[in-house]
Amino acid sequence: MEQNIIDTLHPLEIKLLDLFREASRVSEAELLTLWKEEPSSLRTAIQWLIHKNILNEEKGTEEEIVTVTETGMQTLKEGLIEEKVYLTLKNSQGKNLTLKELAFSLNLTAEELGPIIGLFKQHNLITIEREGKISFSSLLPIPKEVEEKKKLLQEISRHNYYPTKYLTSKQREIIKSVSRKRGGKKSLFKIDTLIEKYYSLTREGELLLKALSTADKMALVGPLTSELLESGKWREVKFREYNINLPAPKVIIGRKNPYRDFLEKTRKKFLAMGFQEMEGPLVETEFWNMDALFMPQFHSARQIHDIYYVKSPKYARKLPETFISKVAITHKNGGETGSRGWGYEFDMKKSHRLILRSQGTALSARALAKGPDIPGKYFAIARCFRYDKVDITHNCDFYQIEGIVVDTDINFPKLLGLLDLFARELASASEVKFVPDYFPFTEPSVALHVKHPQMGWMELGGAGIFRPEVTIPLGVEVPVIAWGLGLDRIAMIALDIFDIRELFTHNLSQLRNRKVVK
Amino acid sequence: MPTISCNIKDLCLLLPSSLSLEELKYALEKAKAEIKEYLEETGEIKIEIADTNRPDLWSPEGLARQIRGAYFKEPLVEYKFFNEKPVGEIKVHPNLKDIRPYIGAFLVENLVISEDILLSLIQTQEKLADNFGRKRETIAIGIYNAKKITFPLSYTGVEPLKTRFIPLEFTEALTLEEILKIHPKGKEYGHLVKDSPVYPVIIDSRENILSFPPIINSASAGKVKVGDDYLFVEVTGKDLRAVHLTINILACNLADRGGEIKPLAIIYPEKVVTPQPITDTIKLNINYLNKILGENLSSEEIKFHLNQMGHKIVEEKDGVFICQSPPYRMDCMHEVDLIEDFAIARGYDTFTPKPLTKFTLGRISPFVEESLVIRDIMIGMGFEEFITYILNSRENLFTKMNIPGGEAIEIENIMSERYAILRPLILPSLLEIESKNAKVEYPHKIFELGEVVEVDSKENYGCKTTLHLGALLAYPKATFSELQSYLQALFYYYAGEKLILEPANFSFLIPGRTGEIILSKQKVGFIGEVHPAVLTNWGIIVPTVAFEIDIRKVKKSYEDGRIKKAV
Repeated sequence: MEQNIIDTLHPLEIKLLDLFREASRVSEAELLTLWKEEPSSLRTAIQWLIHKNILNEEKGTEEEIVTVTETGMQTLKEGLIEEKVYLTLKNSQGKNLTLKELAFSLNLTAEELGPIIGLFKQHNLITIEREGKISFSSLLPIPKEVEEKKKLLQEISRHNYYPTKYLTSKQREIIKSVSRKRGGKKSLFKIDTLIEKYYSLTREGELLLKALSTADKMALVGPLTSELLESGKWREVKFREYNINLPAPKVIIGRKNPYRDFLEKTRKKFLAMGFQEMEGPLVETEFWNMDALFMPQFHSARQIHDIYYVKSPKYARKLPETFISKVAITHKNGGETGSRGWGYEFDMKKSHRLILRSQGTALSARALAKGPDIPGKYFAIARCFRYDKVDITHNCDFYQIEGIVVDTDINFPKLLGLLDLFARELASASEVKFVPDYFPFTEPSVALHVKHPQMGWMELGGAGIFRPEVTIPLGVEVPVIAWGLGLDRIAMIALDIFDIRELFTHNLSQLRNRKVVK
Repeated sequence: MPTISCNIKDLCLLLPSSLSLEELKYALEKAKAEIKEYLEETGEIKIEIADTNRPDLWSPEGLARQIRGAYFKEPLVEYKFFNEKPVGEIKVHPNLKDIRPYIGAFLVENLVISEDILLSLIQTQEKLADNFGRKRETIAIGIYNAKKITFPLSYTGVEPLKTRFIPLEFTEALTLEEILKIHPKGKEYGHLVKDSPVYPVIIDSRENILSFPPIINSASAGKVKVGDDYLFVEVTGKDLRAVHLTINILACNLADRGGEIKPLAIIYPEKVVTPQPITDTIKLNINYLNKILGENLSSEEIKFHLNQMGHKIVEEKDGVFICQSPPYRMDCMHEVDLIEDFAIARGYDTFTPKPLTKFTLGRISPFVEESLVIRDIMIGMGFEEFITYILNSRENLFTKMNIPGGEAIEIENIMSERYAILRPLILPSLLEIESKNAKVEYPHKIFELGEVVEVDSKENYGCKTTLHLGALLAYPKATFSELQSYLQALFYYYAGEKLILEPANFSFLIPGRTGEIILSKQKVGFIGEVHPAVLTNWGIIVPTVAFEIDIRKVKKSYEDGRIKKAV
């Protein structure tokens, strides 16, 4: 009976069994010391033997331990927030920063900054004057509480974990003050409960250990080798049986980024629907980004708060002469388009102003000027930039999916038909709703609302028929549908994330753990 | 986009019958407006209006007007006061010609100002002056208790140092110059008049200064209270059409509230009566409307729905309507604007979507196609892909990379230093990733295929957008030769060429362990072990090797090479 089991034992299991010759009950920590190899292989062997009912696991007493969180490790490298505040104040002496400016420059919320200001005030490091201006006294050192906190962080980071019973009451207080929640995102320390585990052999295990002789160990063959094959010895030896249900070690594989996966799938859908892909420069002129789209040069969306302007050079050297003069006259009095125009003097120099592309529609304008196929369908997955504060729902650097459809018989029902197709193909939507909307370059304009299987009603995009003031100056006489889709929210559902910034994540382990986008 | 607040009850008072919240949501869609917030206890709502070209909609009165037409299907009535005789005069002095030359004004009788009306009036005044008036530059609005004013008025330029009056929120008289220095509104809007030789004021026949536009009203006449029932409203500005449009919007809004509007004459010295019935006259071709909407509509049907949007059809001949847009709108530039109005009034839900049926060819862009091939090879070699921001900081792109005075396209109006520059290289993004993943199991083999922007003074835009592949290998035993093996494989499979490296120097790589990558005699990239000084800057504690290549250059080189081989 024992011999049958012995035949299946892995060398790691035999090694682990051997550790029970001296003592019948051993703690995990002791086993780790005796093991002298990778801790992961010990844990594997333990699991195997428990699985085979050879080893017993018992839980010992609980112990509270503290560890440094990832944020804590990061803080060790970059310095405590208090130190950053101190340094910033010191480096900007005389400027009398306001609390708002200070918070903004360090990207801190008021709740984060509040206690630090309180502490500094208490130590007479700073006084708050009118309008929240901070006056800083550079002669005083950073408060000793901050130093203590740092020392403690360093001390605990040197250990895998640190039992809280060894902490002084003062240290405990510090840890309590910076571990808001257990393992909360911004806390430096994490408090856990550690339970020491003990192992002993089952009755079966004890019998097995007695039966296990050195000879047994030798007679069994693990991996098949070339030597066994060549010499023909494989006919004589006995192969150890493997437990094929045991978990195998993890491998790291080369992978496409999940967000890229999502974008590629979207691209394939557009190709399947007969769309050609457009591309163009990230640095654009106001001309292609806005003027050519009949957005008047005094339009509020063109002001400094939406568009990023290039510092140097400020202007493009040239723009295509025929297009710019036609666009200019169309803005002024409608030109040949039958429109009355915006009625202002067009500023040619402003057209040349360099900016960062703010909408994929700039590529559509370029495609129209190049002379599109009729019928023709175009799309772009275009990187765009907007003057926006980056937070959980906003990126200032993002992908936009936009395009056009050109044909002689384009009309409003076909525009709706196209949107209906997008809703089904790109959002798996069962229901759609078309709502009036406003874009400066389309008339009629429509917003596409869809019922997403997981999210319910959401706005998927906007579209319309380009105004003749856009198409005619660029040399296109037939109607053109322009559309733009916001797929980031759908991407976030597909990737199972809640913070839009995570589309551009830097987190390698998160990336390794994400599943394939379906 | 403008957002306004109002009370749902107040809004419903302006409608033929009360609407539930759900009905109101649907009705507001026809005004391109959306409820953003709703407080059930008080009935307060916040409404966002998408149409930046329709200032007439930025008030409860304007939204209600649109809903009366497009939702309740009422033809919008013409306002009679546009044809009435003026009841008073304002003389405009020629010395304002280059400063703020235009004014429009009217009186409102028999309207008792309630709290809702007052709040709505103040809000409309702010939205119009801030948003449509570009922070009072093109137009500014003043509203007064007309009982304290005696006509005729004059709008004239006066000397800033010699003229004084008591502005709103003050108890003592200040000179105009002092107002700019001391009064909060003077500080905020002073730049609009500061450099003018004279400052504009409105003075009544008893020599009382009513206002110093576009800065502040007087404390005596320029304060409207709940219970007042006789108002004077004026708009000043630099653009005559904008002044008239604003006056018309305000007059129609107050008329909708039940006020009687009494026009005033402006003497420039030529006489202009305001509110002024300005309009856009548009020719609407019925065939064109039917073509764009895919319909076959009768002229009666078209007329019916256009009337709901306030358009007047003054003539119909040979299938063409001559339409006049309402005097409170200025967004009708082309017949397509009327076509959309028709479609909204009839309802987008009355159109049946039709599929696009013609065959078109789908085609991928050449560089995306290229990147698909490269991505497959990189993944086959076990690399993990990242997508990062193209915008980055000077600190990350240059300081930490030991590239003093590095060149790149920078943003002039940055919001945050973190997103200030278009990256010229991908490597800093990869090092940033590496610096944040020290705890993740090694080895790290990562790459990004993405756009970068290179400064190039020969280019029309002074720069060019290109596609780069950056790859990085980091773990305790990472070496040049290991990464070189991958690069070699990439070149073999992708470019079909042998890898040729030329010794080179880059400030961020270890000298003697750095090569420039040569393809068809062209430099297309670099490979090397990252310099310890740079690793230290990033806080990276394992050896790191990296390469970066310009895919556009590689593609061009191997295509040229193939052509040569073929010849």
